[in-house]
Amino acid sequence: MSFLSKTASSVKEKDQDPNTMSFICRTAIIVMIIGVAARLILGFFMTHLYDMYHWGLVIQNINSGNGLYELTGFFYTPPWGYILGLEAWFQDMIGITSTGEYVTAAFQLEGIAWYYKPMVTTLGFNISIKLMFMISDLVVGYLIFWIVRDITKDKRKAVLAFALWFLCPFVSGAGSVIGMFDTISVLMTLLAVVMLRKDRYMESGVMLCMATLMKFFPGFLIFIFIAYIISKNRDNDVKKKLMIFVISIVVTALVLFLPQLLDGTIADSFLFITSRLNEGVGYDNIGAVAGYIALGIYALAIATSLIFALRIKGNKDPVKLDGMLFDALLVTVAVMFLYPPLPQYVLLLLPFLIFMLMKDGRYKLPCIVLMIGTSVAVLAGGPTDLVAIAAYTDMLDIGSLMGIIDGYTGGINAMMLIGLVGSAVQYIGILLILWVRFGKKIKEFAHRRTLKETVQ
Amino acid sequence: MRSNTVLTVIFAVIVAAVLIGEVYVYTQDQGRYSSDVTFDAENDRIDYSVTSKGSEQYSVIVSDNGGFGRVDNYYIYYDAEYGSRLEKVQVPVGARELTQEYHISQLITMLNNRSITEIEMLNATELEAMMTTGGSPASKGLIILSGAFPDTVYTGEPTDPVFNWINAGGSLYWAGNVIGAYIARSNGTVEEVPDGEGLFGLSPLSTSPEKELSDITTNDYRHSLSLMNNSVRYGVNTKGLTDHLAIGYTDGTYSSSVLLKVGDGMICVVAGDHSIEQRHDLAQIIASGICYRSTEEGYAEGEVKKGTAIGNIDVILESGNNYAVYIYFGGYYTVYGKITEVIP
Repeated sequence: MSFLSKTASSVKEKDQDPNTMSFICRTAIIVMIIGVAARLILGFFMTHLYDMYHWGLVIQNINSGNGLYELTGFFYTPPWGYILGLEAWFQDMIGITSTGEYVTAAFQLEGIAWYYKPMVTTLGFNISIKLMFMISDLVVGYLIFWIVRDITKDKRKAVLAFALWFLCPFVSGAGSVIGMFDTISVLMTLLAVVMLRKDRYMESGVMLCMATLMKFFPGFLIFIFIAYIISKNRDNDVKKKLMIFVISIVVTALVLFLPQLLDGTIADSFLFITSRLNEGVGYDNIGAVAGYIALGIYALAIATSLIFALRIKGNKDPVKLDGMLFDALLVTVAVMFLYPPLPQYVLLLLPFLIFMLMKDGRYKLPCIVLMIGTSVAVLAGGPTDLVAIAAYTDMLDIGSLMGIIDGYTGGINAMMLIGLVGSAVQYIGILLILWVRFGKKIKEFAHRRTLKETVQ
Repeated sequence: MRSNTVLTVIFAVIVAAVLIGEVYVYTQDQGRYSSDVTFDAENDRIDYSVTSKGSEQYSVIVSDNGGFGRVDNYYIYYDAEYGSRLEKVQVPVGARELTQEYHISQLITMLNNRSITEIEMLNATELEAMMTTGGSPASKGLIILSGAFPDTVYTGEPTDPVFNWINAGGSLYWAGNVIGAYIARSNGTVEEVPDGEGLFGLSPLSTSPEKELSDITTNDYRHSLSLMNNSVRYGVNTKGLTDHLAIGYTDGTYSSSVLLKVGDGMICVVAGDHSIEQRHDLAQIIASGICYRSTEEGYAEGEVKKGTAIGNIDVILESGNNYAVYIYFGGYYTVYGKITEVIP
């Protein structure tokens, strides 16, 4: 943090017209170079095989002419599959011919969990997928810069916010190690927010729809978006603007689902919701119970989103509107993640936390705790994420690595332990966010109750 | 560039990326790949050409099948009214629950990708008719994934239609559960047959769920066909067997895939649960046209990037034998396959 403060303080521009404050400056370039280098190094050496195996499978199914759902392998709504389609085209262009190998020497990976496979994707394939995430991380960083600059009119803070995102270890790790696409959903969500604030409701609706169909979490924010439009345009053609927003969402969904509507696989695209109730799907009985708890938490997130949306809708002071918007976004996402999120999901929370941190220093502790916890959880795979480098280069002997993995995942299972510790710290970070936001009110409430009981 | 323009450009790029990807995904078809094989008898070599509109690795395998003719009519047994012993696997959240019907539909699609398009679905009655009055079983292949034979063709007696059909030259491809151990009834139940596998000439099959195995090294089909299924559960013990081909993986006793001569026909047992790897291996075995007596006479692999690659494999082919030249793209991520029969 002190390094970031120092580098940010070297940025001279302050209190100017935000549109004239360029993103490109010495500090931002240094941050970019460090962030890109970290991602390339991590991405080259470390790969979580499970998800990467599936991206290979999806591209295989696309290239064999079977679309997204005809053959099993793709378990999301379509937009991520379409981006993998673009990736397939890109791989054709740059000449990546080999996706992966079934490595006999890595069979013991199957002993870690039922879903582990000894399918090891090639380094070229891995890097080509991760490049997308790196570009997305960078653009998300720019949007964070843009929003902070727009709100605070302070370029130093904007660059600091960019650095907090782009240099955050778990942000780098989610794309470059785990290989998950949450960053693209975050990109679409932030662009939806930016467009919302700029009164470009068509673009905002398109982005929110795409973001939700990438990963469903941003969908919980729709009430907040609607309330913001109502509050901002109370006397200014609000119905028309709402209509533009809603129609753009509906039309985008129709365009994205058109192929599945035509080929009859629309039900398959929602299996990530409906399949949870089927036998043989998911993890175990504990997982099934957890699924119902998740539904409860998500209902709470919807309620939170609605309550905060009503607050925004009732607001008549335009000066307060932005503050209320980001407050609502942060609280809704934090409540949503009361159901313990996978590390990569936390990417959606971080930008909103950074926005609040820029104007309220009390969010510093939750931010640090969250970054530490989630970063530990992201890297918990440890030696299991080094199999690709061992399989395809001479830098590591795969036999020796398997011995290390055996020690790491056997016995007390350090991988699970480190993952659990990281997730626990991450969860404390999420609770701290809510404590910073509601702690004072909770204390006041408790105090009033105590007083009331004392009087009685 | 003003920030409004930058935002518009970011928006346009994201929308374009998704829409271009959408068009790409739904405009790919099997026309993306093609292959051609000719036998140059004068120079004792197989000439091949492979064409891809994308970037792919390819493999070419030449197998000598001796006197065993090519199977080119495939049947899959499925009868919703009859019982089954489906060996389900756990699938990730978001995947479709594995049912026999879904498993079969997935296998058919994988076979279609490998240019096997003549596949007929038969119910219990139609299966009986095919086996008893359907003509010569030679060149016919029957795939059974239900874990139990219907009582129309199998009652646990050596004179059952299924044995007559195989002995007369039919090829049975079996995957999932112990072959011969169950009889499926029309009321949806199954009945156990003690030592059912013995009727097929097999000693007790493995029931071990363990999967840490090693490659079979007596032949190279594990590598050349990119076989993945490393489970030997319900796999065949090859000790004491003659006229068989074990391929894939082994724990030292049982093998993940075994092709076995029975009478004039063949039984192929692919071990394991109904996993994606099992389907892949079954599709590769069927599409490659190998049999219990196959030997690998030649192999080549390479890359093709948006164009055509040509090559040849030097072979000395024996007159009168059946040779299968199987070309496939994508390695373990197979996207296309095609067999060409060569009879010198």
